[in-house]
Amino acid sequence: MRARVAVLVASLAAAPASWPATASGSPQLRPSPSKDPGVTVPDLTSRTPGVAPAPAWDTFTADVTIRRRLVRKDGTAGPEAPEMRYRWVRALGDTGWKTTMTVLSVSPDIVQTSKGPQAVSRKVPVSRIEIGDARAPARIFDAEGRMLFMLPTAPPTDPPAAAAGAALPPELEAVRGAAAAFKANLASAVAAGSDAARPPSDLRSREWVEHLLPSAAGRGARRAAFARDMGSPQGSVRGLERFLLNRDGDVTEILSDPAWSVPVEINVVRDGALVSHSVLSYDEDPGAGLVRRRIRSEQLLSPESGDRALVDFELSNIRLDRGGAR
Amino acid sequence: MIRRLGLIAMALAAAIATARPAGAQDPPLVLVHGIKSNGTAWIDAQARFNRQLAVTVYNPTINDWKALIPDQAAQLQGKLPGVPGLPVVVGHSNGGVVAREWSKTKPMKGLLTLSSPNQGAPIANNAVAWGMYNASIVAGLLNVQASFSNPNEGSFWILAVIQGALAFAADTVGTGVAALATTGFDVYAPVFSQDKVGSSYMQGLNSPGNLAREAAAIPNRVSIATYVPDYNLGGAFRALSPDNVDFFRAALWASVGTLDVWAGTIASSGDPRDIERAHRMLTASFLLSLHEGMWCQAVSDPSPYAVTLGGSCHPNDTFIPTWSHVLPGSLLIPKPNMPAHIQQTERMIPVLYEVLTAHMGVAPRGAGGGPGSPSILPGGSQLSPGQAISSPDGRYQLIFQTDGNLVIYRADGAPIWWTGTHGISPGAARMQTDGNFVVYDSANAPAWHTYTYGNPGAYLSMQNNGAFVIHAANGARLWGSPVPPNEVNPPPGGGGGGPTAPSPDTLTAGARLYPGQAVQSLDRRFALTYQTDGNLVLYGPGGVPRWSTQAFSSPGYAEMQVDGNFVVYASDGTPIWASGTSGSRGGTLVVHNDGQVDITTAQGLVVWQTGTGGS
Repeated sequence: MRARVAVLVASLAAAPASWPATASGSPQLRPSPSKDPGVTVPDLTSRTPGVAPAPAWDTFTADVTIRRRLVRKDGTAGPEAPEMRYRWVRALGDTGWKTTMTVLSVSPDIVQTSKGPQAVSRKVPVSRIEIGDARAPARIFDAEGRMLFMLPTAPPTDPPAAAAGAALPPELEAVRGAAAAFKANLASAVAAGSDAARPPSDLRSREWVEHLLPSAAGRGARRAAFARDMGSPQGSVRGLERFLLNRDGDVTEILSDPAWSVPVEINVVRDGALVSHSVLSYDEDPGAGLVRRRIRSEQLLSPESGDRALVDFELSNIRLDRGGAR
Repeated sequence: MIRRLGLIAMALAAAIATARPAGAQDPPLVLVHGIKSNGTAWIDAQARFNRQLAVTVYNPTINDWKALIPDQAAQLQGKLPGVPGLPVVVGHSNGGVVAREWSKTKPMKGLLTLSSPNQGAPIANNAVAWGMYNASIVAGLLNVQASFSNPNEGSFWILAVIQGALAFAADTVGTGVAALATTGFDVYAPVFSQDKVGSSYMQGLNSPGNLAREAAAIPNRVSIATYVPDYNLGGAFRALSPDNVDFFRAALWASVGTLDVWAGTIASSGDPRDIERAHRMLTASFLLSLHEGMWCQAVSDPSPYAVTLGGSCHPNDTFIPTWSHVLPGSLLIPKPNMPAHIQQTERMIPVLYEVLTAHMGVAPRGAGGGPGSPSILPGGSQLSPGQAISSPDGRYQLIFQTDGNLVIYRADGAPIWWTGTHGISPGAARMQTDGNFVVYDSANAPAWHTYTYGNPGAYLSMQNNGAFVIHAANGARLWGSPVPPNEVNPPPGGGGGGPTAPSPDTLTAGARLYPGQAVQSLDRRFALTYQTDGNLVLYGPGGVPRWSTQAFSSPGYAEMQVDGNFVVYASDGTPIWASGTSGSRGGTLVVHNDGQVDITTAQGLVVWQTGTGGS
């Protein structure tokens, strides 16, 4: 499989023609050698090919590293967000999965001082986010373990009205209006869809881990899910099965590895232009499965500016445990 | 007791005789406000400097602050045709630049610029780019919502759980743009073209020729360069609402984290389209996470177009960078960790007092009101305009100002309570023989009173805990001003507390909160704050709001009325919100350590509560 992944990576190395190369080179996947030993699983969890793992584990743990930056239309680097490292824990309880994201580190800010550039803490006031059952509000905690508040209860931060007598440029007024309209439309959309929208019926299912740790045994189920969600393959590209979904003016192309039935590339085209491009990379798991290591994505922020957001979502130190992470 | 009051009255009369009101013979001190402001920005400084410095203070309003800077200087001259001699001029923000321009026609003894954009304001260069950054956030949010367009798809329900984070992101955009409006940013305002870094006006102002002229025309030039603590944090929200920055930052990073955690969760679903949704969420949280850094660049990077071209974060006061506060050739006084730009005219008065007296040759007036002066005003006596009494330890002073306002000042000059009666033609603040303490105008019309009539023999005491209290003849407490938040308890053994001194967590009948004041729980974890936006908010640990009236107005005061009703009044006297507990005469409001706020009748019956207890 590792060789197979390498082939896929090579086939994707050429950037889509509609986007220029970034300042640092191709925006495409460049997997770095991983020193991560792979997935740690308890003895009760079988990773034998062709045999479904025994559903004994009840806690999933992984470290998530998220790197994000902006790339200008001409490929020059724009601002970079702090690198965020989280400990991501999903623990199975009586009523479903409880998700906890603990902030492990946030890269420092660089500020100018009288002594020159200095790295300073961003003093991120949030330390832990807990999400209980589906639709439960997120609970936000500080470093001392005190709950600060809950989301989605919207914080009472209605922006101040425009200063009297100040005439903002039309483009700025438009931005403010668009933000207000978005908020109103969002509330309407959520309310309108509340009847139809339902959380997953089987709240205690372990199936989701199959997509992070695809097993050989699960290939058939994954392929069936593909067919259900995306229809039949529409040919192939670079040896990958090509699925197409056309909706709301967006054409979503998903390229899937036929041997494992896992997505390796997702492209979204709107009005004939590429607006989103994501690449997923996997490592081979010693237990004869795969481990999804990274998703690297580019999103076009607006056709006018041409700015793109680069997002790198990386998983490491993945564990499946019983009785909670140790 | 009567004998003691008689001695006090004699001492008071002696002290009052030594107080010297401002006189026309004093040298002039001119205060110049900045953009989108007026003379009210300096109203407290004006009162204090008139009282404590041997100057006559002029505090004009520049009506057209959008005008070109030379035109603003001409307006200034037009407002002050009769300023005698050589004034000392203090300019805040753009007022400092206007004062420099004014010096071309008006010789000055001294010029003090406070956080002025002496070398330009980068936000004037970056305003549109900042707006475009905010536009990209909106685009990112729309992308997220568009990916959840079908309620029948499996993951639509996630839109509901991230709704709060997305809505907060939209609010952040609104705040970011409003911050520009707060600066007075106006694409058509001529002043902004001149305030840009590198503008031809700024080049001329800081040219060697003009600096040499300034050096000759203004013998004493001082610039105060400030920055706020953690100047890289808080973004536009801090610039707009500095006292609430902790809550904003918590909400900002909670929203970033919430989007991240749900992105991670749905990216592990079986539907490849969820991976696309996840990355739209990660992109939205990314753009949100840039807010603080982008604002810092926009207001502080010396390269003119940092937001577009990439820049860095420099020390700043939330609107103007410290490097631009420097007036070339002046005595530079750095002041780190100062209040935010919009707070400086109110909260840096002690600093200005220090600089004016230590570096600019302005003499203190030497009026009474210090330690040793009377702390009690007996019935039948009064404070005339300019007169004061002090707490026994000298840390607090109650003064009836020449502008008609009755104000309690802390020793560092910070006003902590006031009646809000400024603007009247002042008559006297009388401790009447009927027990009522009344502020009268010069026509003998009452402007404010304590509602304590019917108590002959009552007297007023200024206490060591920063409150003044009306006592009955037997010493019982009839009325008290709020105890400031930093004064949890009267100092041990301190005098002036009175036999029934109020607890700092309590508002008793007749007590008021004025904008910016709070009453807090004894453990200081909870504070019921009357905000300057008119909203009355209970804040808990970490500055998290727990309850509020959600009644915004031009603020007047919140009063625990003698009829038992707790009422918030707008500045025009309109009641905005009420607890609806009238009829429980003599009720008290208490902020408890568990976060509960309640009103209890004189009989001990709880008639109202916020329902926030249990923390």
